[in-house]
Amino acid sequence: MIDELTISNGGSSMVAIDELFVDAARLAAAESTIAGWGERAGVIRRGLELERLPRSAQAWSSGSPIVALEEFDREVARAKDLAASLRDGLLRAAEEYGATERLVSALWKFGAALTAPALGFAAPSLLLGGALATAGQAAGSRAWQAFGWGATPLERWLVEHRDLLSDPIFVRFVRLAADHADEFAMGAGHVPLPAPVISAVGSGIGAPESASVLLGVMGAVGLLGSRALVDGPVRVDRAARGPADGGRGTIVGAPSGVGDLAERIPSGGDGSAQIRVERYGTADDPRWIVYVGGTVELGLVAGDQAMDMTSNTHGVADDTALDLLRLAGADSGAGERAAREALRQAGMEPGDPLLAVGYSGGGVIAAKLLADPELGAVGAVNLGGPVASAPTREGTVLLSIEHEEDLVPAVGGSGHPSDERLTVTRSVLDADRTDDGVLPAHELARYRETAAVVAASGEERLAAFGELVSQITRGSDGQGSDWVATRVVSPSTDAPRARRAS
Amino acid sequence: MTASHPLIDVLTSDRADVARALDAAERHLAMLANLRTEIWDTARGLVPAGTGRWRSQAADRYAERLDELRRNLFRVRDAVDWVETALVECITRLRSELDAVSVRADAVEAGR
Repeated sequence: MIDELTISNGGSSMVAIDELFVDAARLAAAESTIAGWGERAGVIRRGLELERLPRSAQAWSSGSPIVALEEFDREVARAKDLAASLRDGLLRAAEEYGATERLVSALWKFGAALTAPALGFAAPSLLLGGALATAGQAAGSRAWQAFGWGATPLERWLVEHRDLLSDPIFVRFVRLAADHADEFAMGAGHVPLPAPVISAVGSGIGAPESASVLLGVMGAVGLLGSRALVDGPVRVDRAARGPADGGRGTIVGAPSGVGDLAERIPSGGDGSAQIRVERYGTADDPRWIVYVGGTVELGLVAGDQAMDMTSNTHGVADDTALDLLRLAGADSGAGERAAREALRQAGMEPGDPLLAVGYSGGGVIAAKLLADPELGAVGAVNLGGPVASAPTREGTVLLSIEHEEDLVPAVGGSGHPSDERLTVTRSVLDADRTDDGVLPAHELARYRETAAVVAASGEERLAAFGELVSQITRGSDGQGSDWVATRVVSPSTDAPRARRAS
Repeated sequence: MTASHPLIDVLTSDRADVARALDAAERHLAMLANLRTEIWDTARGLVPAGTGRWRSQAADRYAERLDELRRNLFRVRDAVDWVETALVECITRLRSELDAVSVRADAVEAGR
């Protein structure tokens, strides 16, 4: 693991590590400075020439100042050309890096577009084979354990190969699967079209459209009583932050940059607050930062935990205009509605400057707030959320920090390019590591480390984002408040209940 | 009105020319001194450090060219030093010339 950041700007064709962009900017500045020296020396030389200094005064051991100035001009020109050439070389390298990345990505997509319908056609036999294999494995496992032989070979294999989930190649597969689920479904449904036609149709359908269709189907099923992926109303309550709270919020220091922002994202576990709101500025000129935590509940059945997979699926589905046509299910995810409600209750008015920060599913919500023209969001930070398809708004910046080994950002698919999206990727897992959880590259702690690296980077666009944070806080203390979001579910359902914080 | 002496006229004219050249050289020396200070203050920090975080043949070549740029900037510093030295010597020479012309003009004036 190294502190190397790869930066890509949706609307630009360049991709490179931050140091390359920093060096290119510094070399451009050097070129300009050196050119300035040349111009000033030129003024001196021309002035001396006009004064026509006596020849006798110029013929000493050091030679003529005019001759010395001409030599100076030559050295300056050489240095200036060299700085320009180095800068151009770096930008060309970034262009080539980006072109290579796009070519590789296009080849993967081409392969996926062709194979997804075929896999879909074969789905019944694949599913049958899978079911038989699973049943055989289950029966074999029971027999294995009955003999007291410990973990089954499959269990051992999964433990030994859990690195697979964090393999960048696997992450790329996930991204493709998210983009091509529709081709697979059309193949499985034996849509009477040739595979290339299905691929062509599917190329216009990405993860958001697939998620929207899924929500529509589950919403219709919900009419029969199922709560799987069926969202509902949400309630937001202020969480006390200790005796100093007093209902007005506690005094908080201004975050100094992206690293500090990441540190303040709430974890949201065990019924604790999932949303934090900070207000800076005066009553006449309030400016806001909202922090939204990640997914707490991973089940597919919507319970009273608002930060769950149902909310996340809505977050991805909202990215497509197709979702507006969906007749069944909620209009937006519970998490997003909760964040808006927390801001409203904290006193934010539409149009107040806002910076939204979120981790994982919270990152999707932060991107949604940024894209809303009725809010005055000026920027958003996403840590590990699937925001590639998220709409963006002109004049704003969505800084998306994604780990190469993290499959969660990939479930949003490839998305669409945008000048307003600045994506920073970093590799965070050592090849010889001995940890960890199921998705170590997705852990908030690792994203906080990367955010600190981003904050320390001198890259121009990252430094500009740090300035954006300063514009919100202006270096003054603010008032912070924590909020607990709870989905309102009918007591008659068997929806899962979140544990309350003590 | 006393008619002027041709030699005194020549010497006076010479003295004025040298004085003007000396003044111009000193003004340009002040401008050069500013430029020299800036070059010496900033040249070292102009070139990116090249931390070597990326390791490849291209990166090695880039590091070599950064070194070349650094050496080039050292030569720029040497060059501006040379200009300053030449101009200072020029000014010293002009001052001597001015003194000599003044002495000669004073001697002619005294001999009249």
